[in-house]
Amino acid sequence: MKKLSLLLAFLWAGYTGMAQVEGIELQASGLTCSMCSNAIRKSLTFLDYVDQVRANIRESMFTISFKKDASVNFDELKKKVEDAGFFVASMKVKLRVDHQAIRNDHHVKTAYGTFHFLQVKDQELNGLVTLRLLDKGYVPAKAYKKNAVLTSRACYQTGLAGACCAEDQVEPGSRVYHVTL
Amino acid sequence: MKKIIVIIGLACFAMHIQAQELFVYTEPASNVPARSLGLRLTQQIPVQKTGAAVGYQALPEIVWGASAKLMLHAEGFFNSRGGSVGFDGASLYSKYRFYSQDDIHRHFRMAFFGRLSYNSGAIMQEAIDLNGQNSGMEWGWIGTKLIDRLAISGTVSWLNAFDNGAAQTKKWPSGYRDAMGFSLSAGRLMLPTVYKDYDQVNLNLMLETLGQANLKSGDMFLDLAPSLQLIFKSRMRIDLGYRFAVVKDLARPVTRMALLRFEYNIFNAF
Repeated sequence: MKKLSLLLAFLWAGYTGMAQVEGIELQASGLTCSMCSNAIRKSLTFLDYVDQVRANIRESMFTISFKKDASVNFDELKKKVEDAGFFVASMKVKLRVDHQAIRNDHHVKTAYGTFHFLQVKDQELNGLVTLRLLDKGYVPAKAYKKNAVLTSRACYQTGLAGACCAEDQVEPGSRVYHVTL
Repeated sequence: MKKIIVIIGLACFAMHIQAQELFVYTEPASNVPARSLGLRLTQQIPVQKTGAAVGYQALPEIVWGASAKLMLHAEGFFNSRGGSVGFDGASLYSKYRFYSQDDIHRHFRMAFFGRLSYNSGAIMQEAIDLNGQNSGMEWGWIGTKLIDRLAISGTVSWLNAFDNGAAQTKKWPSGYRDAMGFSLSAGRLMLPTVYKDYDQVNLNLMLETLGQANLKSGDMFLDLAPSLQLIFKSRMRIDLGYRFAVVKDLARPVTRMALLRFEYNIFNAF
């Protein structure tokens, strides 16, 4: 058990820099009324790692906070919105980062999956940053099609690492989230 | 020709009235949330009738969100024929949403639906009513458009009536058991004017046109159904509706009916 803990700690340390999701701001599409908004809120709170969901009914916005050391899964959050009968129009992830270098159209492995940065300048991130997800189902369909010009890599279409991600040592078949600042 | 003018006129009228899409007399293309349960009690009270045999109807119903795209309803029919309330039958309804184009505060959605009803009560009318009068089946298509506080929805369906249990004689020649159903609904969220929290009471106003045409005789009815809906705590709903015939070639003993419905929604029930 001790060995396993050490191994997990080592693996965690391997995920350079990007350590902790501090919160998520999500906008849903397809609804106006408070009953629909309540359905989304209830659906999100069903996930055991969600601490609180604060809703702005008028803007269909949901500010989600998580329990300590929660293993947040963006796809699960998206599915919960879809289970309620609606869709994600925007998901912004607030992330605490420790001196993480990023390059445009390249990948960074994190505890939450691999992030593929698009439409960014090469730079070092430090402190609290906000990432916006660009994957299919995380933006309106038109925006997803429009953003396809930002990369020629196939993982944008599949959401999964393929041969295109090999130069960044991303494990084939693993989840890749496409993000921008 | 006169009928067509009436239909077009009502449709145009409905387009200018506004409401949300939790329609009182029809279903929208949207479903209830997955893993949620809705408990409903609908009561229909005849206001004007030509025969004594059709009375007050109570329709208890359970609505289940099986998944994001599929929902199921199970409904019971109780009818106060001849002074006492008796159990007449039940119905299963399912709806599958197959198309969604959503944007902020708006969507266009389409769904298929099917209904199977069993009823042991006496057949009282030429019109087919699978919601409390006839055994039979129905399947159809729904399209719903939501634009901010306004929702507009249309339904087209095919209905087929069976015999009403062994005790009922065959009322119609077989060719008269098929009908086309159609509806056009519009509704608008009136209150609150500005959303602040989930405890605010919501008021929706709706106007629906509900029609049916017998495919053999060509006779049809067309009803107009204004309604008012109150939503409490973003989970409880009270509907008040009044349905009256505008075109009544297709015989029905009741042409004016009031509706009162209570609904309570349980999210994450499973």
